[in-house]
Amino acid sequence: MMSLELIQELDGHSDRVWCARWNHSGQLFASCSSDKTIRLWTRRDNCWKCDCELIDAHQRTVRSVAFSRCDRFLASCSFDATTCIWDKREDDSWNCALNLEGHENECKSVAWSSDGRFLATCSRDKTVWIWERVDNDEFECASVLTEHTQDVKKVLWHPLENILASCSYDNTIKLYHEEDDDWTCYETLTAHESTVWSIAFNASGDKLASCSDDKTVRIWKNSGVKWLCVCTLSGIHQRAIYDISWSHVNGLLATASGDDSICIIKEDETSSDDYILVLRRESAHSCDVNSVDWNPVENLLASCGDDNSVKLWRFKNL
Amino acid sequence: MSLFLENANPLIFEKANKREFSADEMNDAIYDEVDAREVYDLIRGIKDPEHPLTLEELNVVEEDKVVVDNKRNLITIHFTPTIDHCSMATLIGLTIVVKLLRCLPSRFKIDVRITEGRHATEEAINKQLNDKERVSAALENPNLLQVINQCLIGSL
Repeated sequence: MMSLELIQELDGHSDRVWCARWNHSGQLFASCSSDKTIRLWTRRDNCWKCDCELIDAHQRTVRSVAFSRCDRFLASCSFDATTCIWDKREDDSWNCALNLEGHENECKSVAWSSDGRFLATCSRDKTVWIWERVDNDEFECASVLTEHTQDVKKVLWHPLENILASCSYDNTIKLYHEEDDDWTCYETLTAHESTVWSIAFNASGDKLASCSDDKTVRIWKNSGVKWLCVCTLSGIHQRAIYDISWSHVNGLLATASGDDSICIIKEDETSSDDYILVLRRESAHSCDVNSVDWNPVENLLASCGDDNSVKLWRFKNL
Repeated sequence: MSLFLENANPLIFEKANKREFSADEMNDAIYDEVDAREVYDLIRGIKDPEHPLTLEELNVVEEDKVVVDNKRNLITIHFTPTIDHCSMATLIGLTIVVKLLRCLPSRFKIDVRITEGRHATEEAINKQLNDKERVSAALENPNLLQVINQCLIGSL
């Protein structure tokens, strides 16, 4: 029997919460909201509390946040078209050290490469930017990728290599790598029939999951030559699927949807290219669920939604 | 906005009568579900961005194109632009969305779409109106919000 048990509901944001992301030690997570703030949550006596509120850095909705692999830096991006890099001081407070500008309008997503050398951002201006860290407090724009024909919703780095993936309102997913000192798009994944909202790699990086406004989840597998769609899950959600997270602890996928529910998907034991719905948590939030993120070290899931709340769930497989 | 009206002489339709309430509806002890007429009353007085007329008078919204599913908390509205290449269609749709977001309980999912076959770029407009991230970003634009609020003045 599998269960998803609500362990805590965290209030504090005064508007819809767009994204909640764990750091890599799994001891801290950040949430961001249309209230223009970022909240950092830590565990004390088995209870999660907001220790730190990052305000006044963004002029509009903070759309997404991401921790660097070393957990010393937090990047946040906003509808105000900028990306902030926060660094952690010795007293555990966070300081906005840098503000990266360049996008023409709303910045939708930000992600760090696994080696911490690169940062990627994407925007409604249809571009993906790759920033290279040249010094502790200096980033240079290494590339502006203009492959997508519409609003880019999310960027995500491969867990082991410097390969970047992006997904878009143009219904496609694109993959980029560095070639002769320049970044190029080397593959486009087409199959979704509407906006691709989010993507997630498995732990080894040979599979990619995507979720879409077309209400399906697709699993893509790297065949060595190309990425092939090996599985399509439909009928699990009634409305758009806004986020997907692939646990590197238990191998399960979690999805967040506009139908207020969270679903858990598992690889079929008889065939590793088949995936099945194993759990559906109805009314996980009282409005749309915007994001889900598995804790990197334990069976904990963080979710957030349009009801202004962040929720923590314990996954159990009894 | 352009100096010339795209549709200078629109057909004007009759307004609906004031809603007549039944005895049950006037009784506070009885719980009333949200019905199509109630939702229609919220949007029929919205003003057209270029004419001093309401969406009802231009037949852009109609009561029978409002569907309320209380059990699943779904509200679907189809609206009909006055001409099939109307450049105001997205703005009109957005105005309907904003009005309903402000007036209805948050449990409702609201889908605003163009009546099938009634606009040249219907699919693109529906996709945009259905993208809550873009709608939310648009509503953070003070100029656009001002235009929308102008259309909403006196709508109820």
